[in-house]
Amino acid sequence: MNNLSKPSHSDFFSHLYIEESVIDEPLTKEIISKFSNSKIIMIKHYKDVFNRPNQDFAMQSRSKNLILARREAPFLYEGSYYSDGFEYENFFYTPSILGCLYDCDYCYLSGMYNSANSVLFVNTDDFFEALTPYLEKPTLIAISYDTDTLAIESITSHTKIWIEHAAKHPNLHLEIRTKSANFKAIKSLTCNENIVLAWTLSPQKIIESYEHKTPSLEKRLRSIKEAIDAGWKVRVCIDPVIYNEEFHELYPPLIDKLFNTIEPEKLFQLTLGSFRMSSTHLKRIKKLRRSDIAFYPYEIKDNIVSYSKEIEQNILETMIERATNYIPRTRIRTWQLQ
Amino acid sequence: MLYIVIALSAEARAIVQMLKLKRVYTLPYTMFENEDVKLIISGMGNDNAMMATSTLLGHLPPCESDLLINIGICAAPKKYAIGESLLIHKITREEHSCFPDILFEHSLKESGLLTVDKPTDEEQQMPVDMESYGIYKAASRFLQTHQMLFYKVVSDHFEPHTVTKELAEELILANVKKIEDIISRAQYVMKKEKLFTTDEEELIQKISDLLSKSQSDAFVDACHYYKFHQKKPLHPKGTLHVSGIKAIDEKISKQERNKYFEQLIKTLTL
Repeated sequence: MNNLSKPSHSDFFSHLYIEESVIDEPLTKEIISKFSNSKIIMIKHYKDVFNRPNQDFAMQSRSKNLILARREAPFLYEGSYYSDGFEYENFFYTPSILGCLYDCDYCYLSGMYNSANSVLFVNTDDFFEALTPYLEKPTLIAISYDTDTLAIESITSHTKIWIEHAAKHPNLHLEIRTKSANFKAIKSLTCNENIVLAWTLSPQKIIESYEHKTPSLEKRLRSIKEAIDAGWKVRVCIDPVIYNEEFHELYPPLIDKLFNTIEPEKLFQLTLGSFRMSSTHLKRIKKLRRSDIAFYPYEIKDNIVSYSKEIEQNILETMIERATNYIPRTRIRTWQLQ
Repeated sequence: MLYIVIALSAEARAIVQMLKLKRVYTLPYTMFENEDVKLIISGMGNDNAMMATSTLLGHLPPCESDLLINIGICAAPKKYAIGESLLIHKITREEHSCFPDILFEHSLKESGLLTVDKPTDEEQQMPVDMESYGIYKAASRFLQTHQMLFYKVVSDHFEPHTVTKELAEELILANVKKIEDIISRAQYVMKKEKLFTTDEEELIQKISDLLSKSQSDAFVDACHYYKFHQKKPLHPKGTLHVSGIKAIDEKISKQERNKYFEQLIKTLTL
């Protein structure tokens, strides 16, 4: 038993768990055809697999599987306190995919879910129906809160489906947040003024240390440029900023690099924010024992962990000072603990 | 540690020989062991399997790098050949199912499995045994979903009268190499580097003992931060403390303790 030198699963989705009720759905069939080598396991309810006790999130992250299911209500949740609602009266996020292909050490998903697997709800029409009563007013929907929809686009076509739905409803505004370099997946779609493509950027060193399985900074920047050139509204989010002794060497130059790649006036907005999280999620992330981020001596206020006021101020002031060399302050949004 | 649960002595014989296990008498079960392996004969049936698994794991509680494997024969539909080995990814009993995680590549056929109460001669849709569900239920109190493996060898096509002790022994014997390979693969992906050395653990404990509970928690977190962030030893043997932390032996006042604690956190996290 001592000669241990065998590889783990190298590909995503070695196993597809499929709820019996969705086996005949077109999207299910399409996904099965894309993963002909995956083992198919029929299940009654996605929670039987996704919510099992005693799963090892870190271990599963190395070999993620996909669960196909039917979502039951609620289909919309009110936007989280931890993120910007952009002053919309109606601001929701959709849990249409749970879990992310990427594996970032600071992501709240690893503190929120028992499983590193992803759940895709194939009944998208039910989400649209739940949304209809709100569409008399401008309504912002964040479609990539509990996932990165563009990262999984080649499998699900989820972003495309939402963009096409938004094209039919002038009051439907979307925020599609991503770390992917996958703009090409939606390149052929018509631009929509009501949709913001929001890219999260980090310095390459931070990407290598904490944002496992994500594309490099260069690739993300190329994707951003392509999107802007194609006429899309793009927001860049340097959020969360991970603070350490190299902050000044890593983050202000990231802003320079961004604006050396794209024309500043063509960027819709820049969002800046430092790391914060619910203390409940952080406690669970600590148990994974994967990264220094979980163990920094944060301050805790109202169940939120964040850097000290002093550090947070330092981060924002430094970043805003550098960013205003390129764009006016009015196009910079910030998140700060009140 | 590798825990092995097997229903019958005949099924265990080849495994005992392969792993060179010795008979032990610590529990009221037939058991075999060596330094790294504990094997228990549970007896047939779901309840027996559940009790034996609970007893074994309760007696020797496992840690996060341990693995449990159930090895045994099963009946199966005719599409499965006699002697074919299966790795089980879903175990069903009545209306309930459980799902062991298989997080490594392998060349075996995977299958669902039904656990029933009695040997059956009624054709079923999937392979059938009498123990796996009980083993999973008991083991899942102690182990994570990827720490449990269920390895089955097809013994018959729902003709229980054809299954003899000799056949069971022969079928497992023919699979010992494959079983060894599957165990190696599972253990490989479960391997985790230890964050702290024994010396470091001792130092952390010594310092923690001087602090209040909340200070001790914060100090242990700060040690984790230092090790992950700096990737340097906290306490290399025979040299000065690279991180600058050191335990103080004498009794200190509350005020001194607070000052000492602040210094520790500052040293480790700045």
